[in-house]
Amino acid sequence: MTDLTDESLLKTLCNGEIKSLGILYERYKGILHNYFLRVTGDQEASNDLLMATFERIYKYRHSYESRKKVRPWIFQIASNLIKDHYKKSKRWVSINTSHYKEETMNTEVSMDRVARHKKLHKALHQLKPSQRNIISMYYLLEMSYQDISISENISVNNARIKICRSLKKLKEILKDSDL
Amino acid sequence: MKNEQFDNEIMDYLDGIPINSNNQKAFQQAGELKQLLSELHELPLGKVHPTTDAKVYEFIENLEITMNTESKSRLKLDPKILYFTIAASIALLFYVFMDNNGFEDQYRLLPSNPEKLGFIYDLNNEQLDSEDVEWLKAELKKETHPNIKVTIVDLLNNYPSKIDNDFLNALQKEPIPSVQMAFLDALENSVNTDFSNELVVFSQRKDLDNTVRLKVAHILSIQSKQ
Repeated sequence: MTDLTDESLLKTLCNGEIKSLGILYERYKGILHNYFLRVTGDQEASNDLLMATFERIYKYRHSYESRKKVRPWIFQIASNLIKDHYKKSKRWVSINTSHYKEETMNTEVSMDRVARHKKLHKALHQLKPSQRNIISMYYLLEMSYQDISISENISVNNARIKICRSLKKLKEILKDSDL
Repeated sequence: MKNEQFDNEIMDYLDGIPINSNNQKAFQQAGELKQLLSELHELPLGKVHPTTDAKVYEFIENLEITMNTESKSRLKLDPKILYFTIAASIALLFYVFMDNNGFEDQYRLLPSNPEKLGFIYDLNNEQLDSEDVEWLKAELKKETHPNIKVTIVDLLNNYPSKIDNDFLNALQKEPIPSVQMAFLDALENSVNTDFSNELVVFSQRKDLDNTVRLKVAHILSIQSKQ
């Protein structure tokens, strides 16, 4: 069963094969968790959002259109959850740097590199949540412009412009912090 | 507009499309953003906390238990199913002699939702006539189980010329997103003429799920082109 494509797994899930949800979870938990973590900066919220994603995948399994790919459908669910989270929570600036502690313990990673990562992470969290979200959809989830435009309810061209401007803003914040 | 073109040139560069213009400034900024993206890619990734893994697997396990309980309760009904199978056979014979609507009679004899669901699903292999379609539409109005409703709507989707205003009215009253999506799929395939006014009204509902809202927008955009 682990050899099945995502699309086949979702079909079997719709037919009552609950184990398929576990396989999908194993495939997507890493990328989704990191997406949530990058956007919210909150470990606890990321865990909750990850859980909620798989609850929604199960709940809306019949609304998945079999002609489409599962990957963008799941990412669509995740980005909708992020938007719900924006609305409900004002807790956006609690920056989680626990993985940098782990990184510091790894002797092969230079202190300089860890410092650079921390700086970039801090700069990311000075962006607006929507800017952080669109950057993460672009580089981390590698969503297509089409899927990002659907998720953000904007045109494809607007999605490209927003990504570009959010990246430029991040660059600007990093430059300012160098001064 | 000029700024947009500039940003688009930067994005072209990031996507590996060569910049045609001699815009050195765009070229330089694109290089800087490419460097920034590679730094973002280098950021260490966090691991999922074991308690989240445990929670998700508990959720999956509970779903399996629910499914198994449903199956077992069906097994307990075995003598009843036998009784109903006999009754269904008699109903079928009755149909042969009386030229009655067979599917409707057989369906009425089914004792539980899983059986009903399976029966409707199997009708996909049958050629339904107008009377069958009308019966299914009536069942759809009465039915409360979302999965059965979705299966009926999917089945009716095979008969787009039979989808009419009743269907549209049912969508307006439907609160469950998965059922709404099934209705919208059917309406998208429908050969019937313009129902954009009704869809616009529907799309203004405040409780709409975002996926449903996007689907409505998609259908409206198709209709506007026709």
